[in-house]
Amino acid sequence: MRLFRKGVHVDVKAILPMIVIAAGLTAGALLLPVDRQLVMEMLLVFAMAQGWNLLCGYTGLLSFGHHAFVGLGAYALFLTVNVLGASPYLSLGVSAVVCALAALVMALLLHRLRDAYFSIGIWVLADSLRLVFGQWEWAGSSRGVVLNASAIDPARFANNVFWLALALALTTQIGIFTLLRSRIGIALMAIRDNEHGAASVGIAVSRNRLAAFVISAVICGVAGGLYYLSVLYVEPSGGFDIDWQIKILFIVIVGGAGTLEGPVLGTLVYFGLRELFRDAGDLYLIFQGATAMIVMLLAPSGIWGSIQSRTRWRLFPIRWAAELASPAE
Amino acid sequence: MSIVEAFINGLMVGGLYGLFGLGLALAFGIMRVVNIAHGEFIVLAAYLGVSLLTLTPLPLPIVVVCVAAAAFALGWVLQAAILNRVVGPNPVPGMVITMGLSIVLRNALVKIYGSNIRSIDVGALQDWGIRILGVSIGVLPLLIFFAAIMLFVATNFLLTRTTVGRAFRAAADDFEILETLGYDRRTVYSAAMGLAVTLSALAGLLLAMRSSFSPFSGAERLLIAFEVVIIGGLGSLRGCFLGGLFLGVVQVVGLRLNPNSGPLFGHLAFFVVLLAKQMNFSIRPAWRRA
Repeated sequence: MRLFRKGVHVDVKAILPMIVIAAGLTAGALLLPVDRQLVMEMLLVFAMAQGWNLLCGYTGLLSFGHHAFVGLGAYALFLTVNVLGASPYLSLGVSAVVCALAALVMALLLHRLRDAYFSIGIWVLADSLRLVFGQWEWAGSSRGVVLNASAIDPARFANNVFWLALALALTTQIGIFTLLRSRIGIALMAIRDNEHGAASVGIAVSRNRLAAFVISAVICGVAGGLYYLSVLYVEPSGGFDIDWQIKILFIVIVGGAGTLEGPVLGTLVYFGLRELFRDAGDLYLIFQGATAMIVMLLAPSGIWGSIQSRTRWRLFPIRWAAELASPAE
Repeated sequence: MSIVEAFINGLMVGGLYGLFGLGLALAFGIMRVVNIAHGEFIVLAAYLGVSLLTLTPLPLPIVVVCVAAAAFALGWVLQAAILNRVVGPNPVPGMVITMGLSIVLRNALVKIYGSNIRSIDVGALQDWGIRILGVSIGVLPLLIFFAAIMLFVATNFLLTRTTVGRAFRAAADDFEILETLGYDRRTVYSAAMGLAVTLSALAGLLLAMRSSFSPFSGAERLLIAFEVVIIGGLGSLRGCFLGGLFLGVVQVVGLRLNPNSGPLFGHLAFFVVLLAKQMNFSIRPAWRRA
């Protein structure tokens, strides 16, 4: 699988806004006097949302079960560290591998399901995982697992995790951007827009879709592993909480599914609202659900989708715009 | 003997599970709307029943009628005001909107009622039982099971013998032809959603009489409903009913074998059926398969 073809060159003008925004957000995260833990959570949830967006926005598979990978990634990491005594940072690789394998197994079960069948099928899988981990004595059953404290160096731990979260968020954004500008990305969008049409011009529909599914699973798994690494404790009803999925869904839908800018905006909106209404408790959750409904009714393509259709701004250009296409290309 | 009892109990819960699936299948079959808030509607009906029973002196049958009427109105308004705007071949907007609605409803219930576990008290009926061939069966579960069967029969009658029911089925098959016959598609959809929510509300009330619920029970009920629909096959009342019975039996027997397993055995059975369906496994000979 080649990500780059010879003919594709990186366009500096196209990359520039992305670099500016990434640098701006990074500087904001580092310099503004906000809680490091909050920024880290934002980065991780953003990475999950962007991974989910790759699946939903670019292949049209609406998953309601990506919290399965968050929990699996966390458990894979904790058990590797505790049982094998491996370094927690390197164990993130185990999270990635476990989630990739889990995604492949899930794909065996789900590959014929479409639309709602896929959405709920994967939700049932995630719920089954929660129940299995709640029963599994070796994995701590419903009490959960505490990370072996001797595996970490308390002085540098918080910083390391933060930098890893930042690296994951940036890698996800740049990686998906690159992926979508490549042959695979074009194939994915073709599949989303017209599956049969895509198949008829020779695109391997199920292989490309599987690739997107596995990539999104790995991103969610690593992000979940990192998040629970930072809190040093994971239990089934937290790791496999549907709340992760709701957050991801809210961010992508409100920001704009199928755009790379949408999840960035959605993450800022979600956490902004959450901090504003920190004291409102349940009311905030009600408000959050209502916001998702209203956005879907009034601006089905999300906030960024509406902005984009009016202004034609593209910070992460993954398509040739009509007026930019020159015959020489 | 306890396995036999669990089996019979499972059949009786399964009748209700069939009803859960029926509400979801109607909405999906007719409007192509996947109602993620389905589970919350079931729980909402149960809470409404509890409130009416404790706050007013109304007897249980009247409360059931009130809840059914409220559920029909809720379904109608939901479809007419919100979901009719997003009907179409793409199911994602409908799913996201009902997902949002489910979050709203769940947290509103927590806000109003707290997150404690509740149940509907039906008095002495709870403890009555009969013994047949050494197997004891509760009278209440038996009554609830018959109520579920009656609702299935009534729905079948409605769909096959009445003008409204024929309009529902026509809307599922080809709404354009239906419109040429002078029906308003949106009204038909609203009525169908009203019926779907009513059925799930009645199922929710019945379930609340025999087991407890909390604002967080909705997701589990939704997954059950969905499993029933996939196991039984969409668009068949009998399939829904049998799927419900199957799932009920698997789950109750599973709970008897391992009391902590929750809905796990139901989920596993669902995946077995899913795999079997994908392998195109059939007891009919290959040349007779459609």
